[in-house]
Amino acid sequence: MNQNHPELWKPALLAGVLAGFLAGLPLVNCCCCLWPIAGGLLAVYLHQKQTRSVLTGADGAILGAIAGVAAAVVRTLILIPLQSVNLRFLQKHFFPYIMELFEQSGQPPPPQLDELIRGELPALTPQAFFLDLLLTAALFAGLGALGGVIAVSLFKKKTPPRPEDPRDAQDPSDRQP
Amino acid sequence: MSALLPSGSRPPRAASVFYALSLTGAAFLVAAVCLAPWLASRGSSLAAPLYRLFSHVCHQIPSRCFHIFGHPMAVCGRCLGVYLGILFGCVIYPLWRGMNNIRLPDRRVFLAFSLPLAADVLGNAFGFWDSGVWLRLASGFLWGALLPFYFLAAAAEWAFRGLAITRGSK
Repeated sequence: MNQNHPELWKPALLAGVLAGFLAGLPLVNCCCCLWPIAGGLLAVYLHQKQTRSVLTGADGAILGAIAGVAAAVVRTLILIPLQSVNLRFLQKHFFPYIMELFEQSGQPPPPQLDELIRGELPALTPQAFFLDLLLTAALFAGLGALGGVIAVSLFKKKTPPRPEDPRDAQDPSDRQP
Repeated sequence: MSALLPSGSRPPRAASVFYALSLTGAAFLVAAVCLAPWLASRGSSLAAPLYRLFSHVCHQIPSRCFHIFGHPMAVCGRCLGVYLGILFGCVIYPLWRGMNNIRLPDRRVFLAFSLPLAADVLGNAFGFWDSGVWLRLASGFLWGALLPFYFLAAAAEWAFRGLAITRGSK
């Protein structure tokens, strides 16, 4: 990735903000791990659209990781006001179904789920906030990087043919996947 | 950078370290998922925190989990399939492609490996069918097995790029 492209951060941040927003909204946030991957995909797609550069896997990973961290920040911030809204939504539409499944299996629900069903939200202390932010950022950065690498393969631009390089002779180890 | 680096060249230490960490991490994940029910069967107080850790990434609905030692595993069959697939992919990666190959899989390969998982998730979500745990495991395994071919290739490219920069500056 060429350092002369100053637009590196914009697509990553934009994709990250969108992914983080979706990861915090009621209903759609049930696919929590999907959104940072989608953010990484989107970051690479937006970058490819506005530049002529051909990205490599490592470039995609960097873009995706930036998008993932941005998504984590946005998600953590919007969950503060939306926490109770999310809980009410889950209590109305999701928990009854989950409780039925647990009852059918004869197993008690895990303690943290039991607390949420009773409407007990975990206390939001500064320590809890920063710990949650740190862990989410680490997880989303990894997932975003994965999404970015996958996107490089999915949205690969065709490069102009270049002179033959003897090092590019077919190697038996170069097999798909 | 050529997708295939000169044959016979050893991968940089960073690529090897990343590979080792990935393999160890995947093995640890699978072990932790299996450890939770064993701890629960022993009445250990460590079982609950372990289940709680995985609750952040999985619904843990017992009917969708494999059961060992009389207790559900820490993640559902699909998540377990993804973790097992990643572990399998990490194991075969150096054997299948070698650590010097930085070419990413073709998009058609990605779509072929992802389609069963996507179809299974959407089919269950919209109520068209209710997949058994084994089918969830299989679709997750297929997708998980492909993922190392992305992140290990990207890590190898990053390591080689760093090595090229280091050698160029000497």
